[in-house]
Amino acid sequence: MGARQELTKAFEGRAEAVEANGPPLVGLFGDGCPEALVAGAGGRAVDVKAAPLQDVPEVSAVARVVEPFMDGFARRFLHRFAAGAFSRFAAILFCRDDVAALAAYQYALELRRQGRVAPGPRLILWNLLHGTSDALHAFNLSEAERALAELHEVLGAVPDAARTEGALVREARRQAACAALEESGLSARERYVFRNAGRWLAPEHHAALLENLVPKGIATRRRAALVGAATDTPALVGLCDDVRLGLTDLTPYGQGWPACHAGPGNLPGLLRSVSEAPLHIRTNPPARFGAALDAGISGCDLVISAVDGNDDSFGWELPRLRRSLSVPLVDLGFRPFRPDEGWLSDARAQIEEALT
Amino acid sequence: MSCAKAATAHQRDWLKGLRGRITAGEPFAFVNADTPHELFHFMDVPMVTNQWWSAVISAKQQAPYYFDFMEQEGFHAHLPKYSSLGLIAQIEGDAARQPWGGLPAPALLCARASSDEHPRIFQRWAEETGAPLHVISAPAVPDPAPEWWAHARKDWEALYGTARLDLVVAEMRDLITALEALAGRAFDEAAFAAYMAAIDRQERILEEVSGMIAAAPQVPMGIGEQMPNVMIPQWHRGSDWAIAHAERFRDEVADRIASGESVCENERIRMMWIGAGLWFDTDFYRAFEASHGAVFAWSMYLPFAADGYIRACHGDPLRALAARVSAMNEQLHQPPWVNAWLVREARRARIDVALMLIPEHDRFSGYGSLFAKQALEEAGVTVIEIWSDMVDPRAWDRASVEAQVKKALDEI
Repeated sequence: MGARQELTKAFEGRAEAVEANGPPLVGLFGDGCPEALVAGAGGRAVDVKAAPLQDVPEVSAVARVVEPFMDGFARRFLHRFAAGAFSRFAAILFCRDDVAALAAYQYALELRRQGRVAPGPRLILWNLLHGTSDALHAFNLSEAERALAELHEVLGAVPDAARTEGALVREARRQAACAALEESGLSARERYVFRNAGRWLAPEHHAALLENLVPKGIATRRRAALVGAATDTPALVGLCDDVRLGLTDLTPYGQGWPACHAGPGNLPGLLRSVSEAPLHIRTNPPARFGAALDAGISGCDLVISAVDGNDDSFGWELPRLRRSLSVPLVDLGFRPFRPDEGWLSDARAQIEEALT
Repeated sequence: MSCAKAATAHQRDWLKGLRGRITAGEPFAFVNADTPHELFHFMDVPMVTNQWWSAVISAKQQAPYYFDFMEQEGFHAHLPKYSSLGLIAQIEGDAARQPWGGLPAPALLCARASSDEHPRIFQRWAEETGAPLHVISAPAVPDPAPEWWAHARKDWEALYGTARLDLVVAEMRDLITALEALAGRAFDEAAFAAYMAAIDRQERILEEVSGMIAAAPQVPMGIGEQMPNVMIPQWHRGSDWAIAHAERFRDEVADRIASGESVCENERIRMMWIGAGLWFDTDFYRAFEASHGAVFAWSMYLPFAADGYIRACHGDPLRALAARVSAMNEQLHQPPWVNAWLVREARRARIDVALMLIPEHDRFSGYGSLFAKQALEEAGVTVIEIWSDMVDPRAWDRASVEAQVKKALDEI
């Protein structure tokens, strides 16, 4: 199987297709926990937030307690969790900074406490906050030590600095490969798929596959910034390819991962670098996010926005953006969790109209 | 109730004074409901609470206009409403349309990051007014104990976690520094300890009232009367007036129970109202008394005065305040806290039916609703879901909801 096929297969297979034939699997719901820390604890990090491309059947114990306005990622995760999709996993870490993770954690924990789901992986809260104050960093360090102690306990591993250092080296190689991917001239859709495929691949293998890709140029005329809520498919990204737009993807599954895990080898420094990344909707002070968003958009010819129907955060930015931008803003409104052809066709028409 | 009238009159006078201070140019703070109000009261910095201001605008039936405007401005229709009405009125800019002729620019803004909209709304407010913004963090509790109320009064260090309390205390100290600059005086921690003790005393009086109402043969007053008698002294918590009022309230409730007074002589069904108030239609609370003998015996504001507020100081009043604030909203909305507490309360108040307000576009307030519904039903309580916003009446169909409730009550 070639690199492209293997990357695509990993991307489409999601957590359900990851084979448990190495270190114990540790699910990650959200991007706030550096994956090297999981590897350093003796586990293999696997994204569990992104859902299979085909929805799985609902579990009645979950359907009874999940409100219809719950985040689509959290709802799908809970059904997968109750159906035993993660029974092979040793633990799942829920990153508090992810907009869907806390509800997913609390509901999963409560379903288990009430005995409505079968025993399964240990559920651990990764309680990292975003911001810059010393008090916040002290909190993050304390909570990271707690969560890692829980992880070590469930994995039966003792803290091992050398193992973590090795994992950071492998992550650094992956990040370099991802950075090269962004400059490769491959389409935005391919870059999105190949980069995010690494969420379900070991970092060194992911890096090796990316390093084997042959760049193929694509000529783009103008550049768009993609903003809004998280989406785990390249549907909208692919639209930008179709209309020959270069892309700066500022959404949560955009260019951030895995660079959001970069940092020094010591735990306080690594946590600080994650928590101080300004392009995070929950950063404190909140003005930092707006400034980072504006900086990311700078130089683009067009801004495209789409949010979830249950968004309660990014939507507050749109009128400000509309007023302040000197380039067109295409507000695509609510994006379905899995956009269909009709929605994409309407979106394409709006983007093309803005480009004329 | 005569004490309800006294509370309302006091609040009217106090608001008049507050409005006078604010419109005369005295610096004031605009704050969210789950922030440490105690610090503002203690430092005598005038304060307007965001959700209260929303309720005032809504009660004046201005919400539909503002929410239509909100969508015209480009805010999408599914954004939360309860916390944003004041901001939208500010952006709309016609002060004459607003209560009090609008608010001048605050000197300080304070929110808690208990849900995602709060920092963003307050950031917009800061951009509109130029006021500095303080955001108190709301980190989660990794292992939430279901029976939080049994631990929160004394054992709060273990319940909420040392790291979490350290963070909230540090952030409150930053806020205190800002308040000292506004007030022109230093924060007196010893006096603050006395103030916190007074608040605990007040909450214990309200706890007595809650117990009396729960145990009374019939409900002695409707929640429409209960709410001002609780919320207004809570607004002024720890003041001499608030404590005296809580005592008057307790005594009047005791007299009513002793003399056999009740809201509904034909009381047959005891109900609980779950969620914030239905601020644009408060008459709704009495709609089922004549037809079904169904009376609201419970709303969260009275019992939460004790469980949500009493926190032993252990020699560190600021840390006790952090314990009060650090999970205030979460205990009312997140599993397992909300479901366990509501079942305990339903049993204590001998509840037959719960009306549960579920605001679909205020996700933080809506979360945990169906866990609570399931737990209450398993405890033998009939639960009726009321899908509505607290302040946005545009989709509210009173006749339809009344019919829905009456149909369920017919089957009791």
